[in-house]
Amino acid sequence: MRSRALAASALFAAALLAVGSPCPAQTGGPRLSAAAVAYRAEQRMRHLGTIHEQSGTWFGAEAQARLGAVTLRVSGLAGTLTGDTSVTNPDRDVRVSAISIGIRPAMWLEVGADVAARRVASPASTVITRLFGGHVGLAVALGVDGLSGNATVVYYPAADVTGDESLALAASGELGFSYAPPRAPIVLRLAYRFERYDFSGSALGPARLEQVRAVVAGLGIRLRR
Amino acid sequence: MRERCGRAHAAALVLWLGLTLASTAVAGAQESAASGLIARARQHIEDINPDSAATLLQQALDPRVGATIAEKLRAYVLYGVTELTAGRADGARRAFREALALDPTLRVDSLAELHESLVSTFEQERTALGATARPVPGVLELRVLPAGARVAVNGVVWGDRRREVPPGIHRVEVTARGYLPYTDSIKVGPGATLVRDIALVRLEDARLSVASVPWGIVYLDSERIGETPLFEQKVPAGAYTLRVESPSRAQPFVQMVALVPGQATSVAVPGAPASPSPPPLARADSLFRALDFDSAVAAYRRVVWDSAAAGGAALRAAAATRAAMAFGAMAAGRKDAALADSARAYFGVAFRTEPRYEPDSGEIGPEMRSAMEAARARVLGLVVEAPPDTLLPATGGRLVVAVRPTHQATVEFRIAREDGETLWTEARDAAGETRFEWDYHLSDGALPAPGRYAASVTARDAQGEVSPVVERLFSVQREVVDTLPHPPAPPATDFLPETVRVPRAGPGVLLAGVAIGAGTLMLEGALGNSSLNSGRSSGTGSYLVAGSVTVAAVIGFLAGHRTRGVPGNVLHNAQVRAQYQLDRDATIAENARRRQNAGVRFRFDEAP
Repeated sequence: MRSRALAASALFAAALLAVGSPCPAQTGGPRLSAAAVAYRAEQRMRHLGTIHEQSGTWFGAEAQARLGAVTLRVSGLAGTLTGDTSVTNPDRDVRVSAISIGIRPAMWLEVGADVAARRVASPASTVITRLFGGHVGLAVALGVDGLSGNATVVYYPAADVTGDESLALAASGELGFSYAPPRAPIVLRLAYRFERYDFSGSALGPARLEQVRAVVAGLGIRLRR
Repeated sequence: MRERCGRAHAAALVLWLGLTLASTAVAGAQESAASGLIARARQHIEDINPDSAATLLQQALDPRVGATIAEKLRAYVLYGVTELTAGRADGARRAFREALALDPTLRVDSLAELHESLVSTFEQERTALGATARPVPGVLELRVLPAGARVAVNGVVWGDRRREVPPGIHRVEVTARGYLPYTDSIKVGPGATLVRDIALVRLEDARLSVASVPWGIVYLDSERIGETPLFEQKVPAGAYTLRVESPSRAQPFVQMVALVPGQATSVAVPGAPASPSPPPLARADSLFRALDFDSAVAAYRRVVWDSAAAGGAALRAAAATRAAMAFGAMAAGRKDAALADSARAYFGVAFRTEPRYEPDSGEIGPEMRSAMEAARARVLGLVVEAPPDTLLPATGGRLVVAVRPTHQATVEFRIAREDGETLWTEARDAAGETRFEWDYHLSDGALPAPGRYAASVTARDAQGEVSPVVERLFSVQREVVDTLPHPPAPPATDFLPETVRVPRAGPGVLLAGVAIGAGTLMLEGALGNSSLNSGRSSGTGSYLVAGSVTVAAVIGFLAGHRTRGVPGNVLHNAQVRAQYQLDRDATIAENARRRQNAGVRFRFDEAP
């Protein structure tokens, strides 16, 4: 599975590089932006051979500061995932906090490090997962000033999970576009996000697979000093 | 007590002066009270008014009048004439007897015109008395000190000191300026020779000070005393006619002065108004003119040694010269060698300070000028003449400074930075003006840095006399040269657009949007767990986002623009930029060359 995913990602990136135009260079002083975001999320989880599904809406905010080739991002989300009210598929409260720092070796490419904390609480248990990884991002201009297509893949090789569980695989991907009108200090974002968390089995229970897909919409403001 | 003594002393002096003047008057004009009465009586006799004449003659013979023997003789003879005129022969004979008693040799032949029986009556009375007609005369010799004293016997001034005199009593008066007068009555017997030594008692000298502007020669009566300024010159006391003559004065200044023994007398000759003194000298000059030389010297010395005195070397030289004149006058008056040394020293100071100093012709007399010139010849001074402002080329020039010692000497010339580091020095024997030429390049060939420098000159003659160090400060600057302005940057109109915008973005935009859209649809399959997603399609959200991205890309493609390069314009613009750079580089090089060749300006400060 992993080799196929990596191959697809590489092919996708190559396609973008081949056909897209890099985003205009960011020059001048620091650029600040902040946006409110909303996630329409669906989670699918297999546990003890049974697949459970929850859905819900998360709200949050994210901010980024860009100084030259370095970009710092901070985000926070909170929301619920509603199950089927059974004992095995209860409602869950979800809170996600993340911070990342990236550097742009080229106008269209960004690589960086990510740290995220994910808290999922249900009446039966609370699982807190701390994720440490890196990301690769691509940005291509889409012809109109301020309109760009974006693709980002995050991979977390290290994680810390409360309880007796451990993570075998954690990764996420997000594609979409953003638009920052040249004459208005706002930014619009629409993206599709997919997250995968494979928990290994333990003495207390078997392995558990989780994945989240969400449509992300954001509206923010840009500040430039 | 002291005051009383002073008054007594003053009274004595006044009395002495009165006696001196009276004796001088009597001796000179043969005038006294008795003589006056006798003269008036004779006038009455000639007017045939014998009674009035007799009255006057009786007064003249009154012992209180103090008539001399000669006066008494004349009075008795004239009284006899009045008696003859009045017809009283007995009275006349009595008067003639009185006269013959005083001088048996008396003759009245010269008075015969006064009365026709005068001579006969007189001779009859002489016969009656048995007197000798021509007694044997005696000789009177007076040996007098001082030799030039004035000698009068019986009111007759003697040019010699030895004469025959009739036997009898003779009144002798000896006077000399600066001495107490001597008066005595000396009896000389018939045929006898009487020698009398008379040494007058010398009085203390008086002191006379005379100031005049312009200078002048001082005479007392007709004797030259000296030249102004005359300070406490000792002269014999007495009454004089003071005369001050000056070449600059049309009429001599004349004034009567009474010089009192032991006392100082000052005379300030009112003359042509002196030119206004510079402020530092004004007070000293006023003291000088007031003959307060001690205070004037102190004031002049302050000016001489006050380095901050405005007016510089000429003013200090003038002050030193006047101090020397004051010292010289005091030395002459007080006969003090130390003061004379001070005068010479201050003339030396004047010429060390300013070798070219020349006092006004009316300021200093020949004697003082002679002393001044002697000092000038002795002092080794330096005259340094530096060009006030010289612009020399960066290469090949020489800064020339002329140095003139006052006499033959070895002159050392030195140029140093303000911090004291010597840049150049040269020593040379010089008798007159010599020119020191400094090639102002340093040992490494560089020009001296802009800043302050000092040229100092000193000299030493064969006798070891060292001149004062003459230091002249100067500044070195590089000439400010005109430089070319940089060429203006080519205006924007000179450039052609290197790209052009054409409608429609590139097809890559469209393909990128499609690729992102496709990637969105593939994301779940590529990243998701197959065991969890088997048989499950992507969520509707992925289609929404994929479609949106694709639509956005289509819009971007349709509404966007792309740029296309214009190689011809790029080449044109490069040529414009290259030409501008060439012009700018040429200007910079030309300006650098001009600055490199800028001259060196030497500006000497004014001589202090």
